[in-house]
Amino acid sequence: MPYTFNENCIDCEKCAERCAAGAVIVHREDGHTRCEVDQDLCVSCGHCGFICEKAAVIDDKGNIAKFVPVSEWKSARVNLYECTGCMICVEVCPEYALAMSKKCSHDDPFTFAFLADADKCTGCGMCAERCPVGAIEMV
Amino acid sequence: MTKYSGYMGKVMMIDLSKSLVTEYPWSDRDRELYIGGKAMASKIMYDNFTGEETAFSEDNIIVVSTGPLTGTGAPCSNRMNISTLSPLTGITTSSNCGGNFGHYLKKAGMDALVIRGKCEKPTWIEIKNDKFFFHDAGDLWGMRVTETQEELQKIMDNARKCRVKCGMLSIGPAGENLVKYAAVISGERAAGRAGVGAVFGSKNLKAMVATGNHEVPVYSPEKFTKHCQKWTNTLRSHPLTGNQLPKMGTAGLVTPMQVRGILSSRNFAQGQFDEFEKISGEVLAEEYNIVNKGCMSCPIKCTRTVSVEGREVKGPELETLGLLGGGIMNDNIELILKWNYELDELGMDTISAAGTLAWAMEANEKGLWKNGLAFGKTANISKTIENIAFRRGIGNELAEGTRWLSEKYGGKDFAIQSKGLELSAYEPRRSVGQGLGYAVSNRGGCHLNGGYLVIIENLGLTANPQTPHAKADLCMVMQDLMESVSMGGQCLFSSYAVFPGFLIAKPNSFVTRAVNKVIPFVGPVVRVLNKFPEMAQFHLPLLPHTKATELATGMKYNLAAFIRAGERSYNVERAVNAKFGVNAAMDTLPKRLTDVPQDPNDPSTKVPLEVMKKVYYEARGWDENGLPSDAKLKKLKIK
Repeated sequence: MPYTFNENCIDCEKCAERCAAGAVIVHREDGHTRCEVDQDLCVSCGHCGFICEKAAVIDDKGNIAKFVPVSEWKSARVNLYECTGCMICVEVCPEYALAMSKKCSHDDPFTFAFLADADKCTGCGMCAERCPVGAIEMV
Repeated sequence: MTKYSGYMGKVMMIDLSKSLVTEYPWSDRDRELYIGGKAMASKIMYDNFTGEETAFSEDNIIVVSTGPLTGTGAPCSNRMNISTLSPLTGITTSSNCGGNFGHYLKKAGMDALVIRGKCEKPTWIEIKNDKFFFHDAGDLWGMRVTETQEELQKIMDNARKCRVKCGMLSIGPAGENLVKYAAVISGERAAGRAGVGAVFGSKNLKAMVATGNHEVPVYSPEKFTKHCQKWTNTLRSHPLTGNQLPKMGTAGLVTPMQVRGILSSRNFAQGQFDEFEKISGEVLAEEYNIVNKGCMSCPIKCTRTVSVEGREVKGPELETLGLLGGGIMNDNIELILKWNYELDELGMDTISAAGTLAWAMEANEKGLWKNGLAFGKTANISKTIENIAFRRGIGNELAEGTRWLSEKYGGKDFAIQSKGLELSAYEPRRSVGQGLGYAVSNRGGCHLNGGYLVIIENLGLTANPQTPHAKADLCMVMQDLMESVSMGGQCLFSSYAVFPGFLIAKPNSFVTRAVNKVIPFVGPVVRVLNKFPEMAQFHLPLLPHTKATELATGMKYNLAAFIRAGERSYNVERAVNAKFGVNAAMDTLPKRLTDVPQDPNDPSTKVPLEVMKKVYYEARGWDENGLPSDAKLKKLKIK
């Protein structure tokens, strides 16, 4: 189930700026703004919840998402020995922070996923949740 | 809606003529019987076709279907199937394809699409979370595949003002110009065989884009994840899926095929190519491969990536190397990389294109058709490929395929096709079981639909490849196995682990030799087991598919159901073909393969087709005309 906003929302548009899925729609009418989640686009990564200081985001389980200061954001760490290179994490990452290794040698032909852009990672944990072999941990 | 997990619970019917989308009735009972993928598509065609349709008529339908495991994260499970009536063969075809469209189709909330009718003008369809949008594709018409997909990505991104993750299917100029063997491409992967792309073109359907945020439900997520982990480890430690395929891709088979004499060469006149080393998988891996790529959720990653004209593009598969190499007597691998790229960009099947070129070269050599093509002459191939896609000059005739050409110009004996579909690179005269497979296969000369017996006869195990004993029964079992694997939404490579690793890693060990010796005598045993699969109410550790399907869907599934489902799928496809006039007389091979020995000194090196065919029909429980009776269809719960 996708995320929603409650009445605490002050329409600051912070989440709209950061949403990588483009799922926060800002309605502008007569000088007023109103934020809303497009239910068809939300991928439930929880990013809007991390950055919302007003406790206005309700997550996919119906709880109010907790604000997490940027300094405490977790980051994905891929265990290269366990990674099978299936690319599911790369596919689900809403921030495009994970990538596949570029080169592979004839002797060791396996490619693996790694955190290519640590700045983009928000610690939402979608990759760790979906990894079929449990090779990703959030630290 | 459905009571089973693993499915999204919806099959949608798109009527292009009316731009109308309705739900197609697909019950839980259908799901139990046909699981998904190809079997599901065959059943839908069985219910819809009367036998009057032709490939390009408006009432021809295209079924794009996924399996219950697609999108769940099970290893090698990201595949989808496209089935339709083929313009090349005139009968049903099914093309299985990796890429990412299947995954996103499920994310958009549906298991399968049934497409009928015809658009008035070029159209592309956007599928966004259960909603369908028809867009004008006038600007896209004429574009090559990569260009089309990049343009579509741009359109999607601009509409949402962020990078959108989506799956795409598109055709190239070959499909638009109704080249009989045009392909549909998803990302870099192709649903290539038998002209699916031309049917898209005839319906004026340029592309489809799917995106959404639905999650595929899994019945027992924890157990399923554990099972998939174990399965992934099995695949990683198996000598074929954990070593050979990741190291060299399918191209790694070139050398073993040469050694065993099954590498088609000079339009299947020979079984060996003297310059094979220059086009082998070893050369491709060491000198040209940049990185292994592959479909999502696959731990094998068999796709090669090579550099052509400064771009990183998909490398050739074994069939392309074999047929555009030895098949037309070309030993320049760089040219093959380039042609492979061009064929993909134009949206054409590399196997049929190479087969047709090889036939044209031999016809030219024999003086039947003066066309300027010749074995070993590589300068004009690039131009010819383009001419085929745009139907210019001789390309217009080459675009019709080998069967049509041989009917017009003569030379049927060396027209290497079965039911109109060109054979792939495995030369069947030193692998007679594979020869039988090519002949009886439901979609024509296809190595996979035909049972892929080369893996028992030559490439994995090495059971006597010249004897017809037990081949018919093994062919049947392997065909059914492949049906069952692909109906779950999985890649056939995931079933390689059926052959225990040590048999393949140690070909000279006592056990392996004993197994190879025993195989020609297992026919009756296999048949009895296949007749009464009800005994097998369990999961086989070598075949993790059954347990995975059970854990993902929540339906009762085991080895017995798995075997029966495969048989049902094969029979229903045959029953559809029967409506279009397929019978025993059409299950043939060209005379070159059945009458002329590959080695003039060894008369056994040809395919004893008639002998095996009879046993095969018997094993299948079909009549002498090679068709399933009403009683058989009723027994399999098809009717």
